[in-house]
Amino acid sequence: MSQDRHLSDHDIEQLFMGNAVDPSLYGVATWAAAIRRSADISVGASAVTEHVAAAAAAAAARLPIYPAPPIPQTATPSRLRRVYNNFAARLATVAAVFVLATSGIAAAGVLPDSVQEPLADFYGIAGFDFHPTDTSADDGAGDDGGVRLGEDGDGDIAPAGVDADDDQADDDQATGNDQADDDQATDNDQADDDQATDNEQGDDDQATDNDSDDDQATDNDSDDDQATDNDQGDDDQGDDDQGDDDQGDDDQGDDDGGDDQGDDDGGDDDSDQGEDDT
Amino acid sequence: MVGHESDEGFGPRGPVRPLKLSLPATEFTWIVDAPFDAAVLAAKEGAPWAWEQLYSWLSPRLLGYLRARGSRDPEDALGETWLQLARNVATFEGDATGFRSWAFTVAHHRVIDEARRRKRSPLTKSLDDALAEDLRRMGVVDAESDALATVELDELVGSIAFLSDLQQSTLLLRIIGDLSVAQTAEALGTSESAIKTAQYRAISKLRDRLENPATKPVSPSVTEMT
Repeated sequence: MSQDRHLSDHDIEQLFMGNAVDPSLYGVATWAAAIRRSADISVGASAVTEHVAAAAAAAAARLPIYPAPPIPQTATPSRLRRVYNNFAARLATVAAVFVLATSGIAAAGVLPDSVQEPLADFYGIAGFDFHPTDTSADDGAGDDGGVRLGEDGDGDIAPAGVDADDDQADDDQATGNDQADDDQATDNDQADDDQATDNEQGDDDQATDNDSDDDQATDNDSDDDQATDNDQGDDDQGDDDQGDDDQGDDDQGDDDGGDDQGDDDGGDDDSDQGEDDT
Repeated sequence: MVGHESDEGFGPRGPVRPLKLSLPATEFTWIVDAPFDAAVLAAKEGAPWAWEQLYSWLSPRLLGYLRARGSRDPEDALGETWLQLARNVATFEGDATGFRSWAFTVAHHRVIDEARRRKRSPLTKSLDDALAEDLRRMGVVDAESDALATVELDELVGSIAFLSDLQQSTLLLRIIGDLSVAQTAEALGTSESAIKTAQYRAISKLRDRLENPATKPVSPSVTEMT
């Protein structure tokens, strides 16, 4: 066989199997058969054990071999959901909820003054007025307002605050006193009913009112100011303890100048009552 | 399918050859595809018996290829090869021929990796060689049996040392691994035509060398091949 013989794929396959298709390729066929035979090299027992164990462990570590169950196709999160997932969006949401809740509560006016005032100031920046109104307070706040008005001598608004005081004073006086109490009660009732009438009645009525305020002043602390204010014309009486009976007498004596003795009596009685209250 | 192993070129010797395993010889030969499929399926689950079968079936040839390609530590490279096969066996789909082709491809890559490591750290190579020599000297490694087992292969491989790397790889994969042209091309990362050309030139050079050992082989021209 000449060296120029074309080797087909089949010839090459046979040659690699160790079968010479041409005498000139006998050496190559022998070489192929020899290398095929010598390439079967036994592996040491230790290597076999080691390699098999490692392969089995590696294959087991690659488990699960079965195709994993298909991941359930979840809908793409909506844009709103994705936005909400953002931390800033969450923070904004919390802030919005806080603002709405607090503004609603503040607008309702059900919060204590200590909380209402800061909230009102806060929302006042935004133009909302959540400050508590005067009519909403029938207690101490009304006392102050009435007294201030009494100080100024402005009878237009004073009764609104004085009413509460007078009502309370009336109750106290009516509970443990005599006609003088009734007189005061009458005066205060007038103030309740018609402020203009009280103011028009002149200084005496106001003085009577103030007296009753003074009497109330002996009852509680918030009235201390009233007593002091009312006693501005007096010497050192505002500084004295309002709980004294004498003080109440002096006040009335100074203010009224004996205009109304009933007031004096009422003042005494009120003072006494104030002591009882205190 | 009867004679599957013979069709693949391994012949009755390779797979049936005992490998010091307590497995029946019949389990080493996949005469039909079904047992092989069962073994691969079990191997995917990490069954040691399946890996023993696969290992006994292919390891002698894989070890021979690794040694023929000049691996410094063929058994270590063999272990790395099987480890790589085990890691990726879950993705394997095919028959015994495909598995064998895949195994030789992985072994070839291990050879390449080892050659690259040797280039990067030549000192390690000398240390490995010295250690292997010391082990043989101390009797830890049976130098005689080791030499007898490899001397013939080394001589045979030495006879093709003048061939290019592609030609050597082509011949060894085609002969030792019994890979087809297409499988060899895939393992070497080249085209089938390149493999055909390489094997034809390699055969011509080897023929010339074997006929005239003293003469310098003359590579055939392209016109001669065609």
